[in-house]
Amino acid sequence: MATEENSGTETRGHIDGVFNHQLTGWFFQRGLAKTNLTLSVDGHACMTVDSQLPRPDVASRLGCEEQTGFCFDLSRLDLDEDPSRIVELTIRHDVSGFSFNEARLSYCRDISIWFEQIREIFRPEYYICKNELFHLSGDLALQHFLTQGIFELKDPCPWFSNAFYSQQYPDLDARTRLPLIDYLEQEPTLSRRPSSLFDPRYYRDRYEDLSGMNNLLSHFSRYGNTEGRAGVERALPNHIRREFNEVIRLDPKVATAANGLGEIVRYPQISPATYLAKLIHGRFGDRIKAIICVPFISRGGADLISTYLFRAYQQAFGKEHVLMIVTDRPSIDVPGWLDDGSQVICVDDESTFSDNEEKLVALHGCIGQLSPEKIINVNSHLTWQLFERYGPQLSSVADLFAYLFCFDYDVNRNKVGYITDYLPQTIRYLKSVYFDNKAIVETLSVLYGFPDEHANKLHTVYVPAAEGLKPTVYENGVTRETILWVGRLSLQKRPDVLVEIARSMPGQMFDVYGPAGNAECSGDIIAGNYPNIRYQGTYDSLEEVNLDQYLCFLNTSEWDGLPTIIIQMMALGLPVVTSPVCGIPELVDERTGWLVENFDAAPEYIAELRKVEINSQLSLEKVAEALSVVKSRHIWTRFHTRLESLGAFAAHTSSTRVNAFFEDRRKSA
Amino acid sequence: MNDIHCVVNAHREGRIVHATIASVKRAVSYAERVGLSCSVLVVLDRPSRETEKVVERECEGFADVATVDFGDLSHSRNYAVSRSQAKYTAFVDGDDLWGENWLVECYTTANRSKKRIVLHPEFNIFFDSEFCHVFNHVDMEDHDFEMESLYRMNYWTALSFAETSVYATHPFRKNVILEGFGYEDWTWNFETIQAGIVHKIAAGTVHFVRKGVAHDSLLAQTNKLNALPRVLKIYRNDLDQHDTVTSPEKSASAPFPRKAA
Repeated sequence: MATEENSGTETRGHIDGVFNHQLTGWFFQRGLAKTNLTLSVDGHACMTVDSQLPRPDVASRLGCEEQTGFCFDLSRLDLDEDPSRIVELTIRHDVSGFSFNEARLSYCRDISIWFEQIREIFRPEYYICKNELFHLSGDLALQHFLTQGIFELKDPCPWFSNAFYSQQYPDLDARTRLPLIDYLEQEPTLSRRPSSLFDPRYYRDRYEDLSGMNNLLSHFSRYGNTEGRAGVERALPNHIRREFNEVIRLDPKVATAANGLGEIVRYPQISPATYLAKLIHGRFGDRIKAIICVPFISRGGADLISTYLFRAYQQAFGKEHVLMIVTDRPSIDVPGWLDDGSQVICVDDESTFSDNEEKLVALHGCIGQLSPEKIINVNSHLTWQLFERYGPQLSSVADLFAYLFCFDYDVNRNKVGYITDYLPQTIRYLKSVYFDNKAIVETLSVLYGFPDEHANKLHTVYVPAAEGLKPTVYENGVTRETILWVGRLSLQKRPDVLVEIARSMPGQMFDVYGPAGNAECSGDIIAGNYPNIRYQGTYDSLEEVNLDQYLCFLNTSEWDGLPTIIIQMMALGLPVVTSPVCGIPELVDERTGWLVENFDAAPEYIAELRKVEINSQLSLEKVAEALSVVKSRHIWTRFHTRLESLGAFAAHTSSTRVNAFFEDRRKSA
Repeated sequence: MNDIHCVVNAHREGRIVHATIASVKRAVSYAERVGLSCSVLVVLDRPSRETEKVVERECEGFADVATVDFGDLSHSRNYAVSRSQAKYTAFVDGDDLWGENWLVECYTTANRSKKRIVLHPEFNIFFDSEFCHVFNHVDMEDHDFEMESLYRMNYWTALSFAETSVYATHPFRKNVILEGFGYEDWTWNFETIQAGIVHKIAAGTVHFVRKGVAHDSLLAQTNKLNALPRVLKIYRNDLDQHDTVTSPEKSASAPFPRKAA
């Protein structure tokens, strides 16, 4: 908060601030053992302490001794006569005259008493935006308010106005008494209003469920306003009602409003989401060129690929110009997948939303204010909704992209998922749609009968294996027996087929990695209820898994794109036995691995697994061929170059396809 | 030079424009009684025959009538501004009604103000709808005005009052609904605020806004196509490129207006 340096005697000090009645900081003077500091309240010396508490942070930074910290316990101050009084604190080292740059701190003991209510009243989004403290998190914003803002008469929320309060109640001297504390003390009497927007008496009387409640402003700030409750009475003045009756003579239809005269609507209707766009724009400014939208960062292949795209745009535009927005839940399970210095926000960490509609509008506002040239959607449900609703407008000012993988299927094996839900309606707005395999591109063109200008937007972009993977080494005489299975324990990945295989191979051990999923056997696998299936949990990096023990990798997916785990396993030199669905045969064929014909036929898998072990020389040849294919096709430079050749990083230009769409609209209109 | 130029924008309202004109007559009459001078212009943009007939009948000796062929409310408003010889201009749509004191209270408020302002009524009574209610306009200088909300919702109706020079300097942008952009009044509110103009309410005033369902109305079309105002930054970057503004001068080449008989 304040420092002063005297190079002559090497005297230094710093005041951290007041937290929970503790005034802390550090101070030292080289060569001086006694470092008594005196605390004065309103100019009167009250307390003395030594700066002898451990401060390793200061020692490591300045190379001084560790015992430099001090702490004044302000609860010992004699303020009982008027604990809500604001006092001025100063600290001085009497020997040297050091006074922390003449720092003067405000302190009010009652802030701690009213802490819970203040926290309820405080709206961090409002405070951050109004005071342009965009670097602060919600918690730090509250801390800033309690230690600084409240004394500078900054408002904690839209419904408490220091200016209004001081004007309405001039008996209050804001220099010695905080308006917010005064209001909280007076609130039970219902005699004072915190702003023109809230009347505690009206609020309590209007809503029966609030009778007897004293914390009215905190209730309104926390719940009432978002529940649609009124904070003040709004009524139509009599002269407007008289005018209403007069105008009925001009147009009898006006009388239809008679029953609605008590329904008074007034904008704005403020919610935390109101401030999201400003908060995000305040943090990143106008520098964002590309936004990658993802639902979350879990441990799946789609999540990994979203980070690859993120990195590709970072390389093309620079890290400071690319932002990842996590839209559907505030979850980044594998932060290691994101490079240092990456810019990532989770919208659910930044704000709260009453429903999906409010979140959608808020996301549109954020993207609209950041104004990127590129918006890339990788499985973000919210962003698909955004493309569907505002595709015409967004595609006229930015390039919209999506990365897709395969169809999903419901329990009745009907096609579902992002492709069926959104692609046919939004393809006209998208500049390009990327897929991790060729098979799906061919299927879609036939299935939907897209016209050429739309079909030509569908592209295969093979994803790279992680860089730096070191293939497992096959040493002579070392037996590998365990079979590895990796994936979410979901219906899609068919762990039930694994269970059937395991039951048919009682002498064979299987290791399973992956998060829980919606497959019936998920819980039993995790619980270890199958004697030859060992559940090993999840991993952040394949480097954590000792692959030297594994005979091969087994994949039993019923539907998939071209799973990244297969690419990784091939890069790591493990034999791959897999189902033949969707894009998998593009990588796994008789030269590079072992494909079964039917994804749910356990005997077929068993036969192929046995072939791997029995024909060890052939296995090594296939592994080598697989490695060769991966090294030539699934590498970072190919991925980046492919994106570049498809115009992923090219400047946005006004699009003829969008104009063609508008032409269609004009005709139909 | 008159004090106030009153503009009625109409197209296919039919007989209900009669009530609008009656409310304008009442407000003008009151304004003239307190010493203000007013001119009235009815702009008929591709009107229906019925609308034209009602306007001709009701405006004889009271208002100028201009029939134009813009097919766009923004053009019509800009055109009306270009014909204003008054210090102030006030708009009303052909299916809505002014309260009697609207012109007088606006004139008084505007004349007292030292700032460049746009005035809106304090209350709007929405009628002829299943969900009738009162919309209480916020004043930009009220404590609860929040600029961030303007990106999500339009604070004020289009029936505003301001110095004619405000409208001339900041013409309404053409609606391009089929390209996804509409709400010319919302965009105009935003742009005038960006230019430092303060939107205020004229205390004690009221408008009566008809909400009757009109399936082919501009608003219905705007909502159906998820049209947006040009308020977010991303939609404002290339406004010059998409120059959608029709200046009043350009409007002069439109079909020549005629004065009511």
